Amino acid sequence: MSRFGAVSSTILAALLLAPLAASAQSIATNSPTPLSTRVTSYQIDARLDTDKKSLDATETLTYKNLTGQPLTSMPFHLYLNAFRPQSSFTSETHFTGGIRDSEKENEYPDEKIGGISISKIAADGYGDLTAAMRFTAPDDGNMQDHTVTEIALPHPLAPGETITFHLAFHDQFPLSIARNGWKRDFIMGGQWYPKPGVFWHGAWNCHQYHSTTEFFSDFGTFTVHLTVPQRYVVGASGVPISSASNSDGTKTLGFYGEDIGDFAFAASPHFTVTDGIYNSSMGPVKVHVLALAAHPKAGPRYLDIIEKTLAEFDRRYGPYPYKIVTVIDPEPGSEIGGMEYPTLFTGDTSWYEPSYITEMTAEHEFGHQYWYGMVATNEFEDAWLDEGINSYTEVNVMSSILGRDTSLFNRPYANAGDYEAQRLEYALAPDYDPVTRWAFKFRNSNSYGGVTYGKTATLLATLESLIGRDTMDEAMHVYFMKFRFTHPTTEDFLRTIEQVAVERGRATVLPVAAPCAGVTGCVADVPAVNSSLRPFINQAVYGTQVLDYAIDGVSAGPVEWWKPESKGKDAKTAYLNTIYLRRKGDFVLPVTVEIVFADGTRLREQWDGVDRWKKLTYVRNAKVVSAEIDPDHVVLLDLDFFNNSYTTKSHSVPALKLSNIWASMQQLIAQMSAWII
Amino acid sequence: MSQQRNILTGGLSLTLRNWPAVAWTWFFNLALAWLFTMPLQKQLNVLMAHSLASARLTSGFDLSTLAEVSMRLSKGPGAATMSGYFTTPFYLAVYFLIVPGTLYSYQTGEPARLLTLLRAGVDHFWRFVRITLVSTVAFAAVLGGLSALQNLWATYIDNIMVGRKEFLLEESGLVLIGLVAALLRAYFDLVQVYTVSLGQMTLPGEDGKTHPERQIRRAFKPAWRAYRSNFFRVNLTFVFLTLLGLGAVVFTARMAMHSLAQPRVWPMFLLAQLGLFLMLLTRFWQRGAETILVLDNPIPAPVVVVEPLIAEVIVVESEPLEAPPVEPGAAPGEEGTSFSI
Repeated sequence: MSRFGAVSSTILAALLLAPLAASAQSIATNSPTPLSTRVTSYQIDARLDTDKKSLDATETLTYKNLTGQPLTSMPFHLYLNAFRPQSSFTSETHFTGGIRDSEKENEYPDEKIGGISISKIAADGYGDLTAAMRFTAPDDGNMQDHTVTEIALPHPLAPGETITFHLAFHDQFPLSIARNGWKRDFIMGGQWYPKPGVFWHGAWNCHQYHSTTEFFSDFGTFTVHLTVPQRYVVGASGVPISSASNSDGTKTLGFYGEDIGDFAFAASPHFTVTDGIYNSSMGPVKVHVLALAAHPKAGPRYLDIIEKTLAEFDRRYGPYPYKIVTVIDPEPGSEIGGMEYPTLFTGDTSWYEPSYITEMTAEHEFGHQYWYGMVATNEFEDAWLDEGINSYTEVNVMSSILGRDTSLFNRPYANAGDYEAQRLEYALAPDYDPVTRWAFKFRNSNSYGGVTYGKTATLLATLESLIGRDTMDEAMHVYFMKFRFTHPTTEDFLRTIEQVAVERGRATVLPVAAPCAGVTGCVADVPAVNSSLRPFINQAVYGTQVLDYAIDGVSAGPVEWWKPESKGKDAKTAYLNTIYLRRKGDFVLPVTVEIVFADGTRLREQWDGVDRWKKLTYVRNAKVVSAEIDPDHVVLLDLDFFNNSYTTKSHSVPALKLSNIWASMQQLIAQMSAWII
Repeated sequence: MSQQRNILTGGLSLTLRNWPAVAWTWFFNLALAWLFTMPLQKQLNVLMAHSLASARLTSGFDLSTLAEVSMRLSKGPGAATMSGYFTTPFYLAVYFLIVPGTLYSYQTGEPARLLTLLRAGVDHFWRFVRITLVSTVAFAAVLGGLSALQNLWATYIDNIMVGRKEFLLEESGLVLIGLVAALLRAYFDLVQVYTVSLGQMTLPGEDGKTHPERQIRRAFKPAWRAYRSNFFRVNLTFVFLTLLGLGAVVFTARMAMHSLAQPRVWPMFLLAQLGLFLMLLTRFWQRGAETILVLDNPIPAPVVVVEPLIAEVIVVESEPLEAPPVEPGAAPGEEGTSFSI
């Protein structure tokens, strides 16, 4: 009998039910009842060795089989094993780029090696399963990957039954490469414990860790005790429940989280605490900021933006139900900044940061509490549903708080808006991949970033212009409230928008499915709501079409061109004004055109945008002054804003301004270079 | 007998008296920069002159629009921005002519007309190229080693601390490198001044005729002697003027930045040019100060002793001559700086 087997079933039951009982009291949320279907329950006792950057722990995991079918095996994620040169993560990062450290060198430093090893795993009623563990590689067959292990159960786990695993494992944290690890004396414990896959759509979903992927897990409860040196300050998922000093110069801190899918912690001896309380519609939320002492302005900045962001999310999408959100300010130079975990996220700032990147990062990562934390989509397969939607809401929330054109940088002499930053990110890699592509199947990390973040934010902003901001906000609210604490899919999201748009009269139901043939990644099944938005969705979401409409030519001349043009103040000459519109891209979208005449008249025309070009002609006693496609500047998917308009009057200032900067820079470089003479 | 004039004020006086040298240098830099910016401006005009989207750069300065412009240009043929990089090599070529010409005017009092500058520049061109090669080797050896140490220092600091303190300590290493670079530069500046000074001397050649001294190696020793004996004076002046020039650029650049959003370009242009001109002026001021020092510490004139019965020329060093006085507006050749024996 294993040492775990020596524990009596009664004690075990009490241990297992303890977190469930605790959850009934809602220690960690402002809800009197459980918010999620709690599939897992973790109890982890871990001791952190801050010198060796390692951790030893025991884990008791209770898994409830709610799949409706017997389970004969269970896969576990061992994410930390990605930080080895043999892993798929590192190989992909090396060859096609990663979104954090590049690993371009042809050597892999020892300090970047990380790993997790399970020394023992047993399950009540199943015995010792250590020998039954087998590494698998369901995505690419790389058997050296080691980020997924599978345990064949000696006998099936029946539907509705629970299985309790007892594990002992050892972590070696790497010098940070992506999202976790250490930097100086800071340690980020992310994806640090064995975690089962998700039984989803009739099968286990347990992907390997890839260079561009994030995570996917079931909801549950976590009771975690961390033993760390006394001088360390620790922030973790969930709420703190205990703190005890040990005789060996360490302390043991307890944390409890419920209705969350993951647990992370951060430890540093240099954290300073800045706390605040936000009263949400569900109750008080503690904003707990742990910022480095070297960043004295970070604490107040994080606190301010998160309190405002909480208010915006509460108003727009729904309440934040947890009692706490912890903000971690990681060490500069680490690859840990800007990462989300349930009720905890990392920001990214420095001792001097004059822009709003600090605020933007904090807002974005907080947004993941909704789009990932609660609306727990599969980040391996539907990355756009968390990163993309979150980028879209980030733009709206940041615009609301800091101004649309000033939400990234706001000075009297220059400005920048977040929405443009997202659009430019999309414009750098617009058409390699559809947003629905699985995260690890993108052409490269640039395409993944540009499409998943930038394009999604931009296409949803464009969709917002089609159905109206109120309708879009309502759709997002409905989507959040309906799918929080579940694992929705792409179609769940799109159909929600269509349903709300149809209900609000901003879209119509089509009798037949919109054509989808030839669209990359387009789903074959007919959507439940086949609305007038489908052509847009098929191109923008499932397709890779590029949207680019342009004013192709503007001209004006007397109708009676063969006669001398009449002069004088009261002279009236009829002019034939011609404007050519052109669809340069393969994305078809109805567009609005505004034509301005010299007498001040403004006309707005609609063009279905189907043909490759369209000619507009007007006979008026005034010449055309300008023509502009999308005069309200809401079709952000348009790849080139400069060709959207044409004004007959030439403006030299912008070109001169930029030329002057360029020339002055060249002069300065030349003068500095002359130091060698 | 060597004099000890104030090299800072004397240098300024010399620089201001020869102001066309600075003006021409600034003009050439400006002209070259704009010449090579023309393709870019043309491309920017095509993109923006008739687009309403460019309004965000007219009555404001939207960085997103700027980024979009950069993206559009980067997707174009690329020649527009590439041509800008020709400014520096062409400017350096002009600088190779103007600097010796300027030093010549400083030393001889000959007015710093463009033709004078260029003629003297052409005369000294290869000597200055050789000095630059030597100085480049010296800079590479000294600064390369220091840069390697700086990397180690920065890594060490980065491992143990973060924030403002880390930044300042890391930058202190760079400041030290800059200081060493300034010390080196000051010495090679003196070498250049002595080279021009030597160029005004003539020595008998093997063919029996007299030739100007073209050996740059003869300038290193007197330069070192003057540098060593006036170490603090030279370097304090040099560093002060360097900081003054950099400060002028930073200050005017900051002011120019604050006019970015204005719907007119000339304030930004004037401020930028003012800063660049002041930076150039301080560099010529440094040359002026070094010239004063060299004039106060002249090269010992070679004395040729001709023995009638022995067909051999013996060259020995004599006591230093009096420093040739530089009179404002003095005609060339009046100062007695040419020694034809």
